[in-house]
Amino acid sequence: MSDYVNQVTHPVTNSRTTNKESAIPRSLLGSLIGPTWIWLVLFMLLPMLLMFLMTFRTEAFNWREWEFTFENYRKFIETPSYHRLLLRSVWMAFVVAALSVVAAYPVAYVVAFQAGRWRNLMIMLLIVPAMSSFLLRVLAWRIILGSSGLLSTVLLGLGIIDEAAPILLYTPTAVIITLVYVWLPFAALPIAVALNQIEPNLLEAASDLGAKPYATFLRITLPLSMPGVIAAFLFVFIPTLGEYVTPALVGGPEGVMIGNIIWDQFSRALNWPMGALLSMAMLLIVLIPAGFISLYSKISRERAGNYD
Amino acid sequence: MSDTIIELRNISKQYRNPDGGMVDALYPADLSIYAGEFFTLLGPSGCGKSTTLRIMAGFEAATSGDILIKNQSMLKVPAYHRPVNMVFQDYALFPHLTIAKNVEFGLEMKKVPKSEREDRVQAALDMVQLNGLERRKPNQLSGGQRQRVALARALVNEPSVLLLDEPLGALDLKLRRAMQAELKQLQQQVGITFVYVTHDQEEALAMSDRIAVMDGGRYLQVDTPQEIYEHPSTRFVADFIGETNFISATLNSHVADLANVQIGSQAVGVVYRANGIYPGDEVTLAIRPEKLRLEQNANGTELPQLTGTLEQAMYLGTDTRFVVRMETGESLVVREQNQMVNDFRPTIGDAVQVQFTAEDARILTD
Repeated sequence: MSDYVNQVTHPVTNSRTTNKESAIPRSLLGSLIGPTWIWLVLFMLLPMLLMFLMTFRTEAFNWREWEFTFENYRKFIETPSYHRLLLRSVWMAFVVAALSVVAAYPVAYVVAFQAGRWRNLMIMLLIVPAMSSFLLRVLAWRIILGSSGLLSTVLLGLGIIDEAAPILLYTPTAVIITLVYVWLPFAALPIAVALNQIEPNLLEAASDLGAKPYATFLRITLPLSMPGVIAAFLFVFIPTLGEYVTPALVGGPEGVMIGNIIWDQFSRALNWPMGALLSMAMLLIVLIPAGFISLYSKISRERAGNYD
Repeated sequence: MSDTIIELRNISKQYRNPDGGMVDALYPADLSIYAGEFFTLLGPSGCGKSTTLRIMAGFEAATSGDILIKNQSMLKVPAYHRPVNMVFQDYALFPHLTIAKNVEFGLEMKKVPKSEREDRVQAALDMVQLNGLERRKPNQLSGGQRQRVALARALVNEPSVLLLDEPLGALDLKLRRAMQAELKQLQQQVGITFVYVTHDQEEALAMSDRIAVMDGGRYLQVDTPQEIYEHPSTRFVADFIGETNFISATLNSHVADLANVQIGSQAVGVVYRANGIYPGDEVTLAIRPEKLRLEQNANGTELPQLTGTLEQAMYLGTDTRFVVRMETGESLVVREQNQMVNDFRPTIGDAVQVQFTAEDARILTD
């Protein structure tokens, strides 16, 4: 995925540098990359390995008594509630990511094409809320979505609804609304970057060839901004899948996500092996789409050739 | 001449500067382009030639005036409904579509039936000799090939007018010359009106039926290449197109179409074509280097001639380029063809006479 994001933000430099012979001698290159490898092994591969080993244990804390077992896997396979939870989490992450992208696209479009000299200010305004506490922003939605909250009061006052609002708070919908709000600016930025890279004369050319504005958008603008759309989708999908704070605060019993169960396994049940297993399962789910997209972008780049 | 296909009536364009001031990109002017001609807008960058083209294409709205294409006002017609197509400077090919899809785009937008589309795309690609590359993407083609795709993509729509915005600007010199000949041939073959924007005066002279020379948002002269070369209307035109000698002079008198001008201590007769100047006025004589001849002495000719000293001689193969310093201190460039074996060959430092015919010198008043 990082490769993909790289391509989104630096498509030119990326394609130029891949084919070039490195000017740095091999020995020096080794010593330059060395620290990166150490860092990766220490903070990425080693913890992953430990977590993977944990899934085969029954006892989390006593490392001396090593008992290799598939018991956790058996339990995971035999417990449908885990599967349901995983599926629901994937579904919610998908909905949140899709809605964020749909909601962010017009914002990105305005920033890229219509903001003119206000562009930097608009980007600032998008980012500013993200500087306040995440917890605070989630809690704010409790006030808005609550049964005597802002939303229901306004709807009641306008006469759109007659009684106190159908309960929005403590539902999966509340989680989705809150998370779309939280992620929207982060989804807008990669899309805006991708839109910004579209040569304006391509849009003129489409218009010149008889394409009405919506046809120009569907045939030229949207396909050319797809790298940004995919990046935005992943930016939202991946962290949402592991989300546990928002479901805990606004989700209620139906809004529980896999992240909450993992959190429970580690902190309350003290069942680290099961928590590790669920984490690995979640990781696999994230890796599948990321792998597909990385493969797809590699193929499309190869197909495009390197004549430039 | 033939029918007018594009008519600009009093068209002008103003831009707002970032600091709030207004900039005149085009001063109000009329311009008529005739059906089937190769018309060139020529001028340095920032002269308004691209703005003129973009107003025709519909990418920019004129500040005032009206534009008619085939006798219909285009003021309220958006770019996607105008019967013109454009070839962009950097081609603007759609990078995510194949060559065939690029060329097909315009036909698809006009909802031409699928089978007819395919035939027309093939014909267009044949015309620009690109068959076989249908399934490539634009970034798999060379600059010259992309240029041809851009041409095919525009011509496949059979527009009334093809607008070309410096289409050869990104090509190297050799390819450029080859494409010039090809473009000209293509234009004669399809019979579509071409409106061509360039800053390359050689290109303009070689390809155009008529040229509009532009500078600072004004159309300085609109005429055939020959008229513009032989009879430039202003100092800018004379200077921009080819090489020109400018000689400061004072008008002594004029009778009918013959004028007598004073250059230093010498008085010479030239053809008078200007208006609104009177004896005693300062004028400029413009004369092309190849219209001047070097002679050893005055030899009693009736031709206008100027006395000077040979300062420089450069042998250039087909011709020799001389620089002569006149008594007034101004210098003249003389180009003589190297065809006559026994021609007069002065050496540097020689006193020489520079002769010309009265029609070849042009009086400019600016």
